[in-house]
Amino acid sequence: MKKTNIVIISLCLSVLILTSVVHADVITPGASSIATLILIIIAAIIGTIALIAWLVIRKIKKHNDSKREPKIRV
Amino acid sequence: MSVDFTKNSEFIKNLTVYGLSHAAIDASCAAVAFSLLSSKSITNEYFIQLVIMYNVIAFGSQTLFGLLVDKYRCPKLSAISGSIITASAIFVSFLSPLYAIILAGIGNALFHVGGGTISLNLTKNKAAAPGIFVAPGALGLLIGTLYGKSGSFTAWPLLIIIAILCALMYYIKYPEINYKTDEKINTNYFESIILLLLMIIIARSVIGSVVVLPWKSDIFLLVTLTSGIVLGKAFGGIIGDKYGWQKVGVISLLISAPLLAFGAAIPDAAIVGMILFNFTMPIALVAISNTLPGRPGFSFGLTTLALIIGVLPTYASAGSFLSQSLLVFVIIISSAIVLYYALLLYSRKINE
Repeated sequence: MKKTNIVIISLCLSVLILTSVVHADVITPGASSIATLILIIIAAIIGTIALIAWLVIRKIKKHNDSKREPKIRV
Repeated sequence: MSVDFTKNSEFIKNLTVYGLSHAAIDASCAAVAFSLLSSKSITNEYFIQLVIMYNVIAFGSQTLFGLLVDKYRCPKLSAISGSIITASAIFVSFLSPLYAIILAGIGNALFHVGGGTISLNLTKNKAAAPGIFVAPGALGLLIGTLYGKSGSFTAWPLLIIIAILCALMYYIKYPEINYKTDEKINTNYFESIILLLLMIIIARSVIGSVVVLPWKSDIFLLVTLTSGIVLGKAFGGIIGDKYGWQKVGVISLLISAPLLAFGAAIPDAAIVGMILFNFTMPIALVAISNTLPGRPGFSFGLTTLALIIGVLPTYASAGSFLSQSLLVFVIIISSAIVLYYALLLYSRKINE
């Protein structure tokens, strides 16, 4: 599942990058560095939480896989 | 003393108390936020920033709180403490808007994780109870928004309601929570199922944020729309349990797609579309929870994390782009296809 990990991490990073280049008008009229910074911080927080969640899910999967009994081949 | 939760009375008591509490907590948070705006103690720009901060805290932190509540097995404490913290936000709103919003976000998150954990265990592996628990939130939001905007917001009515509901939550017995994390996950597609279901929730959040309903300024139509959303979430689980999650979820999305994409300007069409569109909410929630046995709080938190991720593009002014009719249609149809596939994998067992 290496590819999936890369996808997830890329998604988190792309959210960070996206918000650094978008207009900040939705928060404050006229491009505002403070508003853009707020968006970047928000994206970083959400991205970090998403990464933690994904790592927890991976841990659960590994724990489950380690408990599976091997198939008996006839 | 054990309580029999197959009896309707216990089931109804828990759903009523936690459902009403959900409405009260969401109403309080909305009332606090909008009262700050209507009192003109803050500017419009600062209000928007506070709302964004509230959403990030309330929705984003539930994943982390969910992990803690699962670890320490304290859903009732989480729900009650969340209610108390939300009540404190009402007090603090008269002193500091920023701290009020932070407290409201934290309180909301804690309550949702606790109440959500309990609702997920009222009807084991079924979507009915979680759907009914989540549904009143939309109504609470509407009531709180209108109350906050009215200009006559006072703290006491909400504080009394929250106090009564906290007492009821304290005294009623809640169901046994399944915390067995050593249960085998009976599927080869564990991660795929969770990711696909979360994608559906993200899409639902995007659509909910970007669809423009120009008639919403009419209070009667707004109340009807909100009631429709409540009914959709409440009945989606019930109907899904009866007729099959895959069938109900996919068909409801397929019908809602043209209604919301091309009929948003027509109240009747959009309201029906919203009812059907919200059917999938409890189905996705319970499917994720069943795929992560023993972790109801974390499962609930994952769904709210997906909701805030879906809203983020609108904060970055991508909302106007995403609100185009054809794009809305494509997103909802894609969600239906993803849901079909996700539930197909969900139904497959480990040896298939």
